[in-house]
Order: sequence, then structure tokens, then C-alpha cells
Amino acid sequence: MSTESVEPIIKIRDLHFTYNPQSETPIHALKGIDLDVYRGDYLVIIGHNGSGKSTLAKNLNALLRPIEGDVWVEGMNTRHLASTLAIRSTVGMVFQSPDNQIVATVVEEDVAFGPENLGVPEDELRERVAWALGVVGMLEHHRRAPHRLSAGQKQRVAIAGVMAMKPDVLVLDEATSMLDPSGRRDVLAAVRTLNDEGVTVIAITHFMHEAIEGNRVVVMDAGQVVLEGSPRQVFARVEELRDLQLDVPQTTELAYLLNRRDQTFPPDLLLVDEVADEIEKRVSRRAGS
Amino acid sequence: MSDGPFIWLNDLHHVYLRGTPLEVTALRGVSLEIHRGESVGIIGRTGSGKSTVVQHFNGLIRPREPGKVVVDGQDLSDPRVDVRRVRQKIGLVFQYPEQQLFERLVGDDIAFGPKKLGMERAERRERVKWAMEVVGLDFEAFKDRPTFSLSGGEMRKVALAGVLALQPEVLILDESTSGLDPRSRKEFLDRMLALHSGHELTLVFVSPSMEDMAELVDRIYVMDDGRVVMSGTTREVFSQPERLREHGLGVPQVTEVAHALIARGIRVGQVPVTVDEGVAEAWRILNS
Amino acid sequence: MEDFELLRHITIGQYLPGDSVVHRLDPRTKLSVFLFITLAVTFSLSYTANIVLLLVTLWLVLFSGISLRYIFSAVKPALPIIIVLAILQLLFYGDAYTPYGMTTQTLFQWGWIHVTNGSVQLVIVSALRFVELLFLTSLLTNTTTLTGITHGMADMLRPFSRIGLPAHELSLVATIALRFVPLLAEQLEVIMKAQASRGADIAHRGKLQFVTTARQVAVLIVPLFIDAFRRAEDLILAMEARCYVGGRGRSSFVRLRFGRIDYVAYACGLFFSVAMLVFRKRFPF
Repeated sequence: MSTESVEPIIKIRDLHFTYNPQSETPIHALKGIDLDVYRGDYLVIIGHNGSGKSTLAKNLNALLRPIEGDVWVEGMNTRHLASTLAIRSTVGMVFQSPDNQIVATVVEEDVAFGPENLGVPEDELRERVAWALGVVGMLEHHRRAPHRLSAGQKQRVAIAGVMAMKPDVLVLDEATSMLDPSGRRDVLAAVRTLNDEGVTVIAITHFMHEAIEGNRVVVMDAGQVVLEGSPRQVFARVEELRDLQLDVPQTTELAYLLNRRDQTFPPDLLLVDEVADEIEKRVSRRAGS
Repeated sequence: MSDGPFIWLNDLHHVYLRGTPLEVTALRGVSLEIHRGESVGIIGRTGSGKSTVVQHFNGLIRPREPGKVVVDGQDLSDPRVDVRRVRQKIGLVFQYPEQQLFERLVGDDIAFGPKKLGMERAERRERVKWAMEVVGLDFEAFKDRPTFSLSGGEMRKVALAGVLALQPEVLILDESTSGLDPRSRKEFLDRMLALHSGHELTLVFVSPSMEDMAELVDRIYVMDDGRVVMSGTTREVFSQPERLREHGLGVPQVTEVAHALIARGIRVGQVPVTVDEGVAEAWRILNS
Repeated sequence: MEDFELLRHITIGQYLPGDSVVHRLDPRTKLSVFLFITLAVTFSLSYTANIVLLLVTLWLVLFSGISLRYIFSAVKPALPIIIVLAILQLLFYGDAYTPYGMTTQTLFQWGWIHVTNGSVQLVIVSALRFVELLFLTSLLTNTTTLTGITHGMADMLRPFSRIGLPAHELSLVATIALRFVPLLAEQLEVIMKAQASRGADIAHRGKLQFVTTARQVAVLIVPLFIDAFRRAEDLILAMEARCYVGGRGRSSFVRLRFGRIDYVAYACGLFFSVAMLVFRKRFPF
């Protein structure tokens, strides 16, 4: 095993952020966050509205800057104004509203918007637009008016628009909140493809079942990180999640409650098949005995 | 007292932007009924026509031949029907209802409906107070707050109160939990259930997803492509996950576990639709 | 019957797809020729010039396959006003207007009413010019998508960015407006339905006459404005996240290219307009 330490692509140290710091009612949205994100991670950040997760997201690409603490993106500090464009082309962000991110009246022209801003030369522009639309599965719609697309399709166009800048990190700030289940499925599939190709993904969501997609889960509450680990590790802490009034996937809840009645039943199952297999195993064991 | 359905739809068709190049057929012959005191779900993916259907319940869209809509004995094809009265009886809450807020102060916005019904100030105040209590907003604390200074969740409660203030007999919630986090969603649905059982409010839930349905409704209509494709009790509908998948819908995970067990040859009694039912059934299987 | 379908009435730009040569011209050509001929129309005061211009623009409209009935249907609502104004001009402008190519001749006088050959000419020429402009505008907007027009204008304004004109910003404003108008129309429809559902008097009587008091306007306008501002805020964040910093240093995905027909059309339009302007005072009548 290598003893080299791998530098995180994003490093957050003691991050504090307050909205309206000078007013009578300042909102302390982040109260000391420490977090490392490694290249290739698929990190899912869960929490309630008001937990600070969106604020954290916006600190990743210098849309917001820390009141205290630091955020480094590939070694660049977000407080450093001259690095802003470089940071934003390294960390791309897709937002919640499918409609309000799309600027142009033709899909491919919107996807080109980001790289145009970076001054990418014309032939490379065309290549990037085609690649980005292909990766999210929207190439056949390249000349359509965004107005005619479904919400899930619009979000995929938004993702393509960000990916056309060739960022190393893709942040999804509740990008599936306004989609119906099939739209969500399509967007998650596109994100999965990107992560498989090496894009670091940071997904902010309040949908618990999306957390299963990642390799790491961070749970936030009241401006702080309260739980961290792999999805399995985090979801096994059913009681704590219940106290935070967060859902767990029904499968995990089922396993947990069965574990309460029978300690040998594993409490940290995530997938439908895992639960079915476990029950089947026990049934045939009893039948066999 | 009539025993017939409170809301009755028969062979309803609807085309949006009829006669223009953007014409779109939303309903292709929908028939359904809602009885007093029920809690009914209408599920379907985006574009299935479910929102179009419920907009017929309160006369926002009027039926065209041969479709018929009868609400509390009144035929909505009759142009003489007082549509405002229908809208008092049938309360419709849209998706992202906070987008309808317009008054500067919370209390005034909630009072809008009662005002339009011609109520006097004192009665209006009572209604607003009642509606705010139901949704969980303290009357004194919130009534004079500026509407737009509230959080998203609070604004949604104000919008909901605005419809409840009409004291409708039927409440239709069209994807009203969109954008709410799990805690807020749970709170919202608990309140709706309390209204249903406590105040005998007939509920109609419209949603593209199954998660809310199991705990809330007794009966479900499944829609796809402008038609009702499945209907029955919650349990009956959920026991057909293959068909639901064909229509772009899923079932709760516990139900999927049950079906996975059935596929593995294990006998499952009553197919569970909630986690508690799932635990009970699994325990039974493990110990039989 | 109430009708909440606003999109039915929004036919901005009214692009009518087609395959004529005019449809296939570069938007910049059409914009330029539009400007040239409009200039010619502006300075043409004689009967002859206007007959020529009318015939030319009429021919262009027919050539591009646009239906005349469609064009004139847009004018119908304004017709009463136009006729009233024409009559007023005819009756009262005799003194003020010196006719082209003739000396003033009073045709009828009574009190303030003073009809001369001048006022007659004025009315007729005004009507002709109105129709010519109508045809020209149709030629531009019915054969070109709004997106095309925005790109054309952006391209034509680009040289001026060197002297400080925020060309890209302006064209982006136009594009964003185009993008969001249908969304706001839909949002208005939703708001109307939501307010109607809680008892507001929203009855759509014919052409967009769905509010009759200032109070009712607030019910619709306040939520709509708030929605528009919210969208704007979201869009700003998204644009910043995609590194938008204004027009400097941007490349362009859209490349308008002139074809042979563009050079021909441009040359003809320019030549024709220059001729009309140079000879404007030399026509017989």
C-alpha cells in the first residue's frame, strides 16, 4: 500500500459563514466546517433546509467567501479574487431550478455559454458542446428550444453546460429537488456516468435514497457536520438520523428494526436485494435444519 | 343526504391550446369519482394528465362534450353554475403554492379568500386564526409579519392557510410537498391526515411519486398518457409493481422487498406497503 | 367560458417557417436591407416613389410566401384609429402641408376645414407608407427566428464594442428576455389559476381583459414580479458560476456566414434604396 498522502482536490478548514453579518439578525449558516474531498469522490451532503448545505456548496466555487476559515480548490484559495475564474472553471455547479439556469434559446447555444466565457476557440467549442451533450444523453436535442424540454432534460442540459467547461468537480446543489422520479433517475444516471469517467461529484440533496449513489456521505445540521462515513456506515446510525428527523431508506429501517428483535440480523443493509437475500438465507437455513 | 359521489367525472377529454400549432391532448376519456370523507390519491408521471383532471374539479377547466363533471349535484357543463361557490367547496392547492402570495402582510393574504366570500371583518379574523392554527403558524406572532420575509416553508404554510380559510369540503393537494425536506414533508402530511380524520375533510392527493401515498390514501387512481390505467385500494395497486413500472412509477422499497421474496419462492402473506407492515411480515416469515 | 391559456395569445415575432430565399438569407442581410428600404420609405413623399416602393415590398412579401391576410389581420384592431386620424389629416392639414410636385390648391373650405390637394396627398402617401412599413416588418420578423435576429444584431453591433458599446451585454439581454417571456406567461397562467381557485375574479373575457381594477392587478402582478426577480437571482448565480464576466474575451459558438444569395440581396437592397433616395425629388408626381 502506498504511503504517499494524496492531496485532496478540495480542502476546507474551519469554514464559518454568516449571512447579513452587520444586521440585527445575522444568520450563522456555517459554524466551523472541516472537510476534504478527494479526486474521484462521489460525496453526498445531506441535511434539512437550513442546515447550511447550500451555503457550503456556494463556498466551493467562490460564489460565497468564508467569513472565517479557508477553502482551497486545487491549491487555490477562494478568498483570492484573481483565482475566481480558475476556481469556477474547476468546480462547476448545477442549481435547483431547471429553467432558471438556461440562458439561451437553443440547447447547443446554452451549452456553449460557459466555454464561450472562457474564450475557448471556435472548433474546440463545437467539440466540447457535442461531447458534453453526448455524455448526458441529450445530443439528439441539440437544436431544440429549452422551453420544450422536460424538467429532467433541462437539468441534463444544465449539467452539459457546466461540463463543457471541463471542470474537475461537479457540484449539484439540490439539482433533483424539482424533478419527478423519472427525471431524477435520468439525472442521476448522467452524473454516475460522469463520476465513472473521473469527475469528482459533490451532490447536495435531502433525498436519502440518493445518498446510496455516493462513496461518502456527510450529514449536516445547524451549520455543522454531524455524521460522516460511507453510506452504509451513516445509514446504520438509524437512531441518530431519526433524531435529526432525517429519513433512512426503507430497507435500512427494515433491517434495523429486525435487528432490534433479533441481534443476529445485520442492521446496515441498504439495497432491496440485500434484505431479500438475508431473509431468504435465514428461511432456507431453518427449512434445512 | 345523497349517497352518490361528491365529485363525479365521466369520459373527460381535454386538449390544451386547441386549434393552434401547439395543441396537446391532455385527457383521453377519464372517469373517476370521489366520495365524501375519502382520502384518494391520483398518481402518474409528469404529463399523465393528473393536474388537468383536478383542475376540472373546481371548474378552472370546464368539461367539453361528451365529458361530464358533476360536483355536489351540480353539472359543471351548465354555464349558469356559480363557479365561485364550487371553488369554496373544493379547495385546490397548487404546486409551490407560496408563489400565489401577494399581500404585504401574512394575515391579509390568508384573509383574501374569506374576503372574496363576502365575510365581515370579525368572521374573517376567526377564519384566519383557525386556518393558521391548522397549519401551525402562531396567529399573534405571524399575522402582521411581512409575507415575503418568511422562510420558504413558512410561506408555504401561509399559502395553504389561505385555501383552508375558505373551509372547503374537499381539499386537493397538487404536488404540494414538492421541494420540502423530509422533516417538513412529514409535518405537512401529518397535518393533512389530522384534518382528514378530525375535520372530516375529503382529501385528494396528486403526486408523481409513491412515497407519500401508502400512509395517506385509501384508494388510488393511476394515470398515464391522459387515461386512468389502474385503480383500486392502495394495497391492490401496490401489489402490481410491474404494471406500475410500465407507467413510469415505482413502489415503496418495502413492497419491493416483498416482491423480491416472492420471486425467490418465499410465500408472503399480505404485501406490506409501510415499513411497520414490512417488519411484521418479515418477522412472521422468519419465525414460521 | 373562462380561458386561462395565455400562450395562445403570445405569438411574439410570429416566425412562420418556410423555404423561400428570404427565409434562407442571413439575418444580418435582412436587418440591413430592412434598414435601407425603411430609410428610403421615410424620405419618399411623392406618389410615384410610393407606388414603386409599394410594388417592390408587396412583391417581396409574396415572394417569401407570407400570407397577406395574416399580415393585415395584425392591423385590424388599429384600423379605427388609423381611419380617424386619416380623416382629421384630410380635413385640417390643408394649410400645413405643401404637396410634392404641385402648388397648393384648395379643394374645399368651410370654417376650420381646409381640404387641399396637399392634404389629400398627405393622407394617401401616409397610407401607402404605412403599408410599406408593415410589409417590411413582416418580411423581417416572419421569415427570421427571434434567435436569428438577436444573433444578427449582436454581430452587427460587435464592431461598436471597440468604442465602448456593450454589444454582447445588450444582445444577451435580448436573448434572456426571449428565453423568459414564455416562462413568465406560463407562470402568470398558474398564478391566475391559483388566485381564481381562492375566489379571485379572474374571468378571461376575450383578448386579455382579465383585470378590471387596480386591486385585481396586484393579485396577479405582485406574485409575477416576485417570480421574475427570483428567476433573475437564480440566473445571475448560474451565469457567475459559468464564468460570465461581460463581453470581453468571449469567443462565439454561433457563426453567421454569408452565402451568395446574401451578397446579391444586400447589393440589390442597397442599390435600390440609394436610387430612391437620390432621385426622391426628381419624380414627376
